[in-house]
Amino acid sequence: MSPYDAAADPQAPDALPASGCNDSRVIKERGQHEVFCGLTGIVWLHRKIQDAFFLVVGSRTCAHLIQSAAGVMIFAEPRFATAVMEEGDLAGMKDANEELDRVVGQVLERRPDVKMLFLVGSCPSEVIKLDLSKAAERLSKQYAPDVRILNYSGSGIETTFTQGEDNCLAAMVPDLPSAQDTDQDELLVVGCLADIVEDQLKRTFDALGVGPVRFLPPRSADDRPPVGPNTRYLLAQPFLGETAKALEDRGATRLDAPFPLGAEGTTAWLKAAADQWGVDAETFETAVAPARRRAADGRRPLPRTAARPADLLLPRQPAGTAAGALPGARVRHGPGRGRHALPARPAHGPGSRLAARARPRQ
Amino acid sequence: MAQEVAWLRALGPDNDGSAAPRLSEGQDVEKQLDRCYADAPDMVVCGLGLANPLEAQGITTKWSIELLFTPIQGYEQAKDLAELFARPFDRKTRLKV
Repeated sequence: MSPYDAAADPQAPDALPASGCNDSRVIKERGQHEVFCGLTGIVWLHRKIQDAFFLVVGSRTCAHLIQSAAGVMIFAEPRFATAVMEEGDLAGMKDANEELDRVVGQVLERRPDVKMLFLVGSCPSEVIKLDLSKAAERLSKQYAPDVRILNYSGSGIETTFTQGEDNCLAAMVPDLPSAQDTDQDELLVVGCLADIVEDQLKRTFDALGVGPVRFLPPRSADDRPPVGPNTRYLLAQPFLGETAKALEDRGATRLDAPFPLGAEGTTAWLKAAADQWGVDAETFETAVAPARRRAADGRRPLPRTAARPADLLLPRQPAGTAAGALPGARVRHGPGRGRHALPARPAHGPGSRLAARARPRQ
Repeated sequence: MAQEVAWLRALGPDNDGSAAPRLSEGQDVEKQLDRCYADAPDMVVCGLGLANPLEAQGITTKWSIELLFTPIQGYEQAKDLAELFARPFDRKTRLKV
């Protein structure tokens, strides 16, 4: 990671009050990390982009991380896999590129529904300096126009946790189609959102008369949003610095806003777009008031026993709902989970050292 | 996150920044834990690797990964977002060891 550069940070605009991220009170540390690597992002990204495939070029440890974090059932054919590098690859005894080409070929032959394939770099691929951008370029030529092949790094040496999503989206940006050169502003919402949230936001923007609205990442390769100088983008996630930079390189402009979290954040976030589109205050109020009221109505004081801190207002989990279950279990399970009932068979031939594993061995 | 930070700073008495969050670029987990113990926060939002040891020390935690796996954006999810942070407190008041 390079030292923090406020000038390059789209979230630290010049007009910042003295209380922003770029002031001297920010602690800067370089030490031991206790976080997941960027490969984690595959867990939510593969569910979002429903015709994308994530091929991690890594070790068994990478495979295990993704497999257990994603929690995909063994008979489901998930849209991620790990091309496992073994001793021969690491010692340079094999031509890793040759093997990678072969594995990609196997994956694409097996999964004709895949329209976008990401080669995802990991710690081992980085250590042996396997150039995945060259590989992606080479394979793109071979598989264009049916399949787009992109690459990014999710390696723990370079990335932590959400940086994987940032790198993935940034890798998609140069490949986005060019927006038509018109005066018509187009809104791009950037950051992986649950489909249900996207639909809600889309309805609100429609009610405001803000549009056309597109989303990055898209739900499918065909749905890739165009980008150009008339693109105004709103960040929906707070960790997308690289993606923002890539979008600015394509001429897009960021709308300065907080993140759409909570009633206040959402209002200010929507307002940023409404202002850009010249929506008057009354229209804005009419469009957002019902939902904002619902967000407020949903809150009532916790029962006294649970009220800590006292000013946190919210309802108790109703009896009978799965209070202990991860809320994530409710959503983000679109058709993108890849429940294609293909027969189980190994994706690699005997003797292969770089073996595609779409399922765990245990 | 400039706007959010500005909002938080404005929350302190006399807008003096006393409610401002301490921001850190990068990480050094040992120093981070030292600061955490010194501050004794009501809740630590952290990765799974730190959450269990901290819970064992009696510190209430929230897995940061849930902020990615749970839809939290927009009006309709405002309640869910608040609940994410309230549930560990609620659980703590109900569980007796």
